[in-house]
Amino acid sequence: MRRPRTPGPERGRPGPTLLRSGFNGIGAVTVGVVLMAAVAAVITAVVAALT
Amino acid sequence: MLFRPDREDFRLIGFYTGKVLFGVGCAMAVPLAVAVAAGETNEAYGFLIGLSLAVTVGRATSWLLATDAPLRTSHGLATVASAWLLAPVAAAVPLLLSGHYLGFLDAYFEAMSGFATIGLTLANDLDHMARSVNLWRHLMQFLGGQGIVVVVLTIFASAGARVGALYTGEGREEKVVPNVIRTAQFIWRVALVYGLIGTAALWTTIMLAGVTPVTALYHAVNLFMAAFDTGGFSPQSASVAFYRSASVEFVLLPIMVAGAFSFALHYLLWQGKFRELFRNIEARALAVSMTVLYLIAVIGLGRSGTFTDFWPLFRQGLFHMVSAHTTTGLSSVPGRMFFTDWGVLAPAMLVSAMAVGGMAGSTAGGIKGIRVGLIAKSLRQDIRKVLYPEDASVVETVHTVRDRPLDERMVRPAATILLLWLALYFGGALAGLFYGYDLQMSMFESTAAASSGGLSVGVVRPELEWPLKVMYILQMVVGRLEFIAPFALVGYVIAIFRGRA
Repeated sequence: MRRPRTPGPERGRPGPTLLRSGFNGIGAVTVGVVLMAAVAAVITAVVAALT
Repeated sequence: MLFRPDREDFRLIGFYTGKVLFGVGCAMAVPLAVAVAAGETNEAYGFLIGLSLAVTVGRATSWLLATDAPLRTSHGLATVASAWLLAPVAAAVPLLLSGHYLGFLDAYFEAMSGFATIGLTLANDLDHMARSVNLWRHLMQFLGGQGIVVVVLTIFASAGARVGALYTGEGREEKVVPNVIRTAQFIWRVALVYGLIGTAALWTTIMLAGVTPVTALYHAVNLFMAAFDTGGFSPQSASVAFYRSASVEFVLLPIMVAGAFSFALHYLLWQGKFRELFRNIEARALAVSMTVLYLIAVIGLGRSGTFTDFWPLFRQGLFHMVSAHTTTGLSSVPGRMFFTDWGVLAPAMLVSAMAVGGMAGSTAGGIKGIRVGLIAKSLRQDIRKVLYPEDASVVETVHTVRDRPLDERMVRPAATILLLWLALYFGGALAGLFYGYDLQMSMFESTAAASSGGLSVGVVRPELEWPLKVMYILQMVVGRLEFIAPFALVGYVIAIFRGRA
């Protein structure tokens, strides 16, 4: 006879490892900063051309 | 109705304040070890005296006042405020004994500026400061940014859920994960990973800028702590301008931005939920604010004629806007240049950026993106109600983790705190005006102190009038703790005299 599955959080999918999590976090921040720098570069280019 | 606090209330506050003092004393072991290793004998004695004092007083206080009574929120708030006022007393001892400060008030100012992650300094001859003392300045920023209380939570995690009340006092209402101890552990984990990668990147770029490897590593560690905890101290008096390196400045950008992110957002991003970066109300508010302020600042810089070419305009403009908006305070130009060479518009935008600040639940200060976002949404809702037909239902949603309808109960506290922030900024500026500084300089320095922005136009210097030093210290602690905890402490003092028994 099959044993019933143990309920509870320990049966959930394992969370991401520290390395994977850190890579996710740093990657997201880097993307955000690159986007911010790109917008800033466009603004600067327009202002520099006009002044 | 106010109730007069009884002995048990003071025991509780004293017990936990003693633990924080003990923690600060233990932290002094790091610069003490550096002083011994570097042969800085005088400084080693200074740290030994400071450490002994903090550990003895802290241990004795928590031993004499040991109690098992439950910690209520009001105790937690009063403890946080008293700990933030007393911890710099202990931390100032080695600073004072180093001989780089005119007196105890200056050393206390520096320690408060460190713990509150402000970045304003009263150090004399910073470029010849002993490495151990300079490291202590930066370590204070790291400990303050991570939260003295969180430090203590992690180390003395024996009180379990009782310490939750302490945590809410630091302006971090949002628990990242339900368990406060696990929240503290996550905050440390984020700092560790960013610390390893950020320090390595800074070390490389500083070496490429021509600094010897050992000195470059020392600078990289210090700069990382100052940037990630949005502190703004730097190992050299010239701040980042010392390196004359665009690479160092661009490596610092993501570190400062990461420091201004809330740990709740970090948690979601670390779990791979990248869409949160673009949907979160706070991230959106800060993106809009930074874009608008940057645009006006660059127009101002262009009109002033200081920078007309693309590269210097982009490099200087972006670095200082990010430094101001994240309330870090690192600078790549001498502070006085903001007013002598940058015209009027660009410095005004830096003041605005410092005033807005970073995200709630981060190491950054200022009004915070969440409040700006909520008030902007509320304004939009009101405008839409006017424009739409009377029977139309106008619902604005707010996204933090999930969509929620905008509620009056969210907007009212945000508006109240916003008003308190404005009063704090203008109050400090008024004090500056009283001592004869012009409006722009007074406003710049006051905002830098209160918001933890830390950029300076030169008002804060060792010769500054002592009442202004006291005023800025008060602004630092009230701004760092976002009003509630200092108000709770003041409430306790008032209740001693006017409360009912």
